[in-house]
Amino acid sequence: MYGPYDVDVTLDGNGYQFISARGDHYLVYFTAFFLTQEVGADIEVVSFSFTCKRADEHAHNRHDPRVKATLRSLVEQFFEKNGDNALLYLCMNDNRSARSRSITFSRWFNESNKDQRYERYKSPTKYAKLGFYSSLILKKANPNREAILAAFNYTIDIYWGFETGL
Amino acid sequence: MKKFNSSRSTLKKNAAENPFKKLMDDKKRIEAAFKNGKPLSTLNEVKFVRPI
Repeated sequence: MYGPYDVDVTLDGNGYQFISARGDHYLVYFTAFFLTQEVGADIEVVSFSFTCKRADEHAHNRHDPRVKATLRSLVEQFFEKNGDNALLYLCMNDNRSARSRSITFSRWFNESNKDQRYERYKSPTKYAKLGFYSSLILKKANPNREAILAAFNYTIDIYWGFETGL
Repeated sequence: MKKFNSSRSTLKKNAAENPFKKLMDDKKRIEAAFKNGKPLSTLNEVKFVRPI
């Protein structure tokens, strides 16, 4: 079991950052995301993202288990403080890598959820051909679970369905 | 979980503004700012939150 890296809040307070043993600089940030309900008010959930500035852009990208531990720790802290909310994760599709990222995310989630405290819901596969891979994670005990899930699916369908006619 | 008022007419009006696409664009802008050493606070159109 590898421990997480030390994490700092960024100077402007809009994100969290850490430096890996290899000198790679990671930025982790959360943004507001509004899910549309079929009836009723929008629901604000939180989008979770991270990016990395490599110390050596040409170096081979080797697996660092402490990076995974750090990201996992931040996600767990989120749910400790926001147990009635949900985390949205959207895979970027640059270099057509969204599917690959989604598979990696699935593996991370399954490894981190051995006690099955969390649930993960994926965007419908019919939109994958557009490069759209997204997941919603929430606690099983979330009292708002049904409303959030319904809004997640509804929001996907009205916007991606609008674009594709599906 | 926070809720915000919305209406069906607003939804129809903004149907083409896919929020997932906006999120993708935001992520690209954030990555570019980070890699170029610009503070995230310069990205006024992005609503950052600090939930932890």
